[in-house]
Amino acid sequence: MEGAAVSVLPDDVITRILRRLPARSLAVSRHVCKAWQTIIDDQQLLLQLRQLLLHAVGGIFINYIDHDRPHFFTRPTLTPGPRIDGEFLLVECGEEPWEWYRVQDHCNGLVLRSADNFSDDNMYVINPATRKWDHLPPCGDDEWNRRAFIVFDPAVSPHYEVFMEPSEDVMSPPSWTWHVLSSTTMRWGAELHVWLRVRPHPRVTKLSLANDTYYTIIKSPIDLAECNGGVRSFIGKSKDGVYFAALDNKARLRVWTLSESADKRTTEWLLKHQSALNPYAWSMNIRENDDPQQRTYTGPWNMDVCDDRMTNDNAYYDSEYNKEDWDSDEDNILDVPSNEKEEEEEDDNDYFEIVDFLGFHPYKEAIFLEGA
Amino acid sequence: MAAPESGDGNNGAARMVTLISSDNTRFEVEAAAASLSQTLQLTILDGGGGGGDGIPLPNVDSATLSKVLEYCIKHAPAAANGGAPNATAVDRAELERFDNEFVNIDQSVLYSLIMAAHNLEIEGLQSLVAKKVADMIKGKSPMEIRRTLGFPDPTPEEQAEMNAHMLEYGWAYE
Repeated sequence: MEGAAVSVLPDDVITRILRRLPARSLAVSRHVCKAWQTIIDDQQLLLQLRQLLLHAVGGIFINYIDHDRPHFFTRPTLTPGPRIDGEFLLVECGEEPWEWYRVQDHCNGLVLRSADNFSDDNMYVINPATRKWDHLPPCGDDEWNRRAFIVFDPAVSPHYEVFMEPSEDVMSPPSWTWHVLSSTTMRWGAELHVWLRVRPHPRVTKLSLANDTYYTIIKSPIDLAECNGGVRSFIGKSKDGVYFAALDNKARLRVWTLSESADKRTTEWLLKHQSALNPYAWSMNIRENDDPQQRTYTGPWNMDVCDDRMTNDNAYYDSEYNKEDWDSDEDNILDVPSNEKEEEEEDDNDYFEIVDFLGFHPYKEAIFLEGA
Repeated sequence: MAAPESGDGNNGAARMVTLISSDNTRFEVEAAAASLSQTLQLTILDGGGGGGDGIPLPNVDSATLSKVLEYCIKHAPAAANGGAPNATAVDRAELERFDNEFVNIDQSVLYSLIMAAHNLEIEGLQSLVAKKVADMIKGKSPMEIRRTLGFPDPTPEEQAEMNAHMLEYGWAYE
């Protein structure tokens, strides 16, 4: 049997081999030949590995209302890998250094960055890990005032799409026009029309990207009275799909997951977690140091340089905790020790200013919170 | 209650069967070892392969069959224990060592073995050779994989596809 044998092996033998590959090798193998690509796509081998593809959280971006740019927080790690450019220094945008910008949205490692100014020429899609970036063409004059969302799933396609919310007040008109940009063409177009039945807030809308005539409005798990009462809500994607979190001004946290019936016609919010946060106990983890630049935390988060005049992007804070990789499970603030007596007393404190919700962990059931 | 009439029984030597390779070489092995093959198992349960009959295997040559049987004979005792729940750590380590050594072979032999394991449906051997090929693929670019596995030169179409892939994912190979 002379050479060339693997290319003539039966499909199920090839499948058996490919199933043993880690995610990245499998993604590469898709390009070996047409037959392998067909096998990988038909059997959805990459989709089955989706959980493994998203194997690391490099850090989190936090937008500030009083800083000119978002800051990137990382945990010290010993795992070799591409250093993440949290400042987007790689983007050659020719902007003036004092230009303000923020992170609009992110999806599976891609970050949608936009400027805070009124220019219509300021959106970038950046992969901070691979250092690839795209400058998006302008969408319209009022783009700065519209929310944009990015959709990207490397297990399905190397291409991404950006959705631009309609500028009109979505509560009143009967139709809702979204602009869509696909990285295959890098052009805005293929407007997605959604016919809207007006329902009272709060609600969650699900758009089907495959078929623009299909959409669903899903009632949110909290009602209007709670919204008016100051409950803040957050929606995101995590381990098992769509998650909804609500934080009231007593720092009581509730998290639901969206459960869909097999035919996707009926949905239900399942309460997954309910607890009262104790943000005062979190501060016990801070090691005091008068110089804010030197202050570190137990279970430290390293912040990219605060001083924007510094351009040395290696100027990350050192930490003595550089000994092992970070695991989000170790940072469980729900279990921080607290003074039980205090808890028994009637708590009249208003936590509104103290706890804020940052986001959902993309593939573990964890959330990121901020305690002021 | 009548005991089932079967060759091996509990009285004496293990039952033997004869396998005949594509080039007409006869191999006599214990039925328990040959039965690791799902394909052969039914024939053997039906009493085939005994005496002077022999089971012809027109798709497997003698070199490959002798290799396959080496694997089966080594793994038969553990398989008889139902996946060897009571095997000692030493036994398992010994099997692992054997397996690693077993697939440390020439590629042409490996491919014959893949086909034989597939045709004879020997589950453990199929996994073993698949793992070996997967290990040869890991960490390589599409072109390197083709070269390693002895694919013919890519068509211009395939070459263009691979070039596009390198442009898009070049960072993955840095």
